[in-house]
Amino acid sequence: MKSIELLMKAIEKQPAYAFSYFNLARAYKGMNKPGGEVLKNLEKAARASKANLRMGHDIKRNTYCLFLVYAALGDREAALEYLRKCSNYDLPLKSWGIADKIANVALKSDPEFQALISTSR
Amino acid sequence: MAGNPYISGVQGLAPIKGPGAVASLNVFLIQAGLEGHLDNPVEVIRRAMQEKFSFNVVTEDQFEKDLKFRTKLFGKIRDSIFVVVVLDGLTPSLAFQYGLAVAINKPIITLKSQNANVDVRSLYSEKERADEKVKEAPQPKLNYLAHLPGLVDEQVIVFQPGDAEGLITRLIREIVLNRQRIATEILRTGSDVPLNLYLQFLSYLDGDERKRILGEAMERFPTDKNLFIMAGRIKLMENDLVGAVLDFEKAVELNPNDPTAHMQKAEIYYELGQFETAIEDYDKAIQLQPVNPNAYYNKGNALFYMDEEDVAAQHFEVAVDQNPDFANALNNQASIQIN
Repeated sequence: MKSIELLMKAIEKQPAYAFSYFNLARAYKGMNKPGGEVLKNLEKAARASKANLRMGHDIKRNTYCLFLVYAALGDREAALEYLRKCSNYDLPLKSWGIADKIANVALKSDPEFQALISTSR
Repeated sequence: MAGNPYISGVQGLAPIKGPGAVASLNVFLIQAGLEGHLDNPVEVIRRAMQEKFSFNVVTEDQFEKDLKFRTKLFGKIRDSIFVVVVLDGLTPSLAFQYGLAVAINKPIITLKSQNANVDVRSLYSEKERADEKVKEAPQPKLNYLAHLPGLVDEQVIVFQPGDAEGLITRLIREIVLNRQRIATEILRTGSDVPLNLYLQFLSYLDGDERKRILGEAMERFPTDKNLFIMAGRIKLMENDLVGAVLDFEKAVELNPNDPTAHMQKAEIYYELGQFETAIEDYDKAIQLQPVNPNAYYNKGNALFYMDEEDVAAQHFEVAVDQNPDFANALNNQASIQIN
């Protein structure tokens, strides 16, 4: 699958870029790979994002990546924690169409999630 | 022909010659450049000092790791009344084309060649300057090469780092950090301070001091787009998106053919979620600079959020074609395929 090749290359070029692991998890999920691979890459995405945050690197996007990771893991509390931070950073969550781009149905119907999105740019 | 980068330094007392001179100055001299670009400074110093000194050769690695050595070096700089930093041959950064004559609580003087003369009267104390003899005498000059033979030998330190430019940048930064007034004093040394020297030193400042100096620079160079770009970036860091976009718009107005100004402006509109406006500026940046992977990548992102995934994918592809190592573009290209 070409997306896997592209992501492997992206990781090779820039191992600290968290979104590549997140998308690799999405790609494996789409291919119905065993859950272990999906989970492993979500964990890698979380680790990379947190490491970047510790170094103060691209704080907004790494916070957003952590929101996506925890939303994918179904961890409501952690996902909302990072979404609140995204909101505090004034990220244009509404313009980005976040609600249409995540698959976690329970989270999408969560009142706090909806409130954070509706009050964002 | 450019050779290996080097930094050399020497500390000692330099008697200031001339009718009005009343003192010797404790001097630290740093010279940096590329071997072969100018006279090798080691040889210059060796000749000047008539072999009466010793060398320490320090690699960049040692410099990085040896805190004790660094502390000693910067201690020497701090203890000196007068520091001359002469940099040459490491373009394009302006700091490497000019020398800086630095004195505690005194203006920085820029030197355009190793034979430049510095008026040292401003370095004397109020009392010394009030002396009638000093007042009436022609202004004494310091030509650092001419005065080297008068240096009381202490030690010569020669760096031979692989990355002299980075080391010099850190060195200057240390000097600036250790003498907080220096960066601001430089801007009071008269009307001939070039714009790019402002830009160089503004990068070492932060907070209110940077804003104040930037304001002064903008007053002196009201039509320079680089200052507006810098002002916009500062506002962007402070999350003042509206203020930032006004500065970037001004930068575009001042130089409509500068792709950087269009890119900055586009990125603000992107942040504001005004993707169509952002795309207009990315297009202008691309028109002005067709090989511009960042512009293609950013435009791709804007298109993605406008639900134009196919066109976005094409832009990510161009970004990767132009820069095969562009991880973010590779990732986004893959992300669209997964969707």
